[in-house]
Amino acid sequence: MEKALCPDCDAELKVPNGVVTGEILTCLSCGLELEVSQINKDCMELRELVIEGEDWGE
Amino acid sequence: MRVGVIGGSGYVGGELLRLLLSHPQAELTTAVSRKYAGEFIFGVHPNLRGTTNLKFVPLDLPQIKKNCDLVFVAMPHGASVNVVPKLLEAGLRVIDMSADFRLKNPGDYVKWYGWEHTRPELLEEAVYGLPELHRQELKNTRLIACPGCMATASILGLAPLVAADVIEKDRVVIDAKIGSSGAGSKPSPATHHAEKFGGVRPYKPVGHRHIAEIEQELDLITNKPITISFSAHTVNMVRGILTTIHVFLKKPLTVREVWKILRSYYQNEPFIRFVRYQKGLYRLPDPKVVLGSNFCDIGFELDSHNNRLVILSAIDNLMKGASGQGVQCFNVVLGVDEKTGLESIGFHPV
Repeated sequence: MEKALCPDCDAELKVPNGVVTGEILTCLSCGLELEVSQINKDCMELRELVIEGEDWGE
Repeated sequence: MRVGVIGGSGYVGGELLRLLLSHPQAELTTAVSRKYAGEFIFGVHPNLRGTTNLKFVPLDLPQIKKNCDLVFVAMPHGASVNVVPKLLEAGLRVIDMSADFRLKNPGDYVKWYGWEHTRPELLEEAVYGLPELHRQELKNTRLIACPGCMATASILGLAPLVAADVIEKDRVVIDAKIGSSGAGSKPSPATHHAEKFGGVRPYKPVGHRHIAEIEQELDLITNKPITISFSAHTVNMVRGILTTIHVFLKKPLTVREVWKILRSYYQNEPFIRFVRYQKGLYRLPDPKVVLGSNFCDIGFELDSHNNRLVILSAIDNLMKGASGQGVQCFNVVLGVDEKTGLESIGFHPV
């Protein structure tokens, strides 16, 4: 299992073995959903998954 | 350890009895209530029916000395100071739930409580019962002064930022909301259902007594004075406190930097949880989620518009804000896991 840091809250993410590009990971600390955008030999790139937000009457 | 509760008929006393009855290291021998002496404690606290046949007894110091090693005192402010010294003189350890031994400066009792402290020599000796800040001192003291409920939520929210020296210390605004149990079990016109229900009452917009202990404890972290602006509201719930704390940053911080400050200050604390979640209904602390538990949930949001950091902290006022905290201190004294007897994770939904 590889490790990566959440780009928002900096918590350590446990990345399952055999993860592939496009897979969605969730940060256990802040709940951010992250898409594995690139996998190189020694590093992995994660980017925030953009989802439609809710408008609470603002 | 054999324990007793003096002032067992109020909400804090009842919660202490509930926790101590199921605590594996506590033998509850004595529950004192002048008003209900001779009555079963479940007659006053119906949730305890079937768990004990203990009856309330009147205050009898020789009997307490004979049957207890440690006593929780849940008497009203100003009454505790007359009883606690006698318990200490009898060789007992005391966890006092009132404000009578929280403040170090005797002059603060005149300023904030309107009475002259009669045993000021004990103020220096008493340890403020917030394990997150005073764990080492709590281990060997004979007198623990449990913090106020709103002070607990405020101090725990602010302590990491004060320690990191990242906020302006003269612009700290705490907006506190508390449920009706915070007013105690004695009814008054202000707590009458028809008057209270459905309202949000700003009952102490300035001059709240907890300011004294919040400033005292935050000053101690850096030995530099801090000025707290505090407004308290009572809202339409029975239990719970939410503090919304507005602070202004000395220089802008990123979300990651705030996370780092919080995590590094509270690493491994058993009752501190961070809540700043990106999805779902409960993205920031909400007292509803901690009811019945000893957790303090802490979250935050950054406001780049005015370099403001909003800290939110939520507790159950009768648990982490009073009796749960008292039992956590008891566990520190015993040297056992601080979660002992406090494993409840609360209800959902409530």
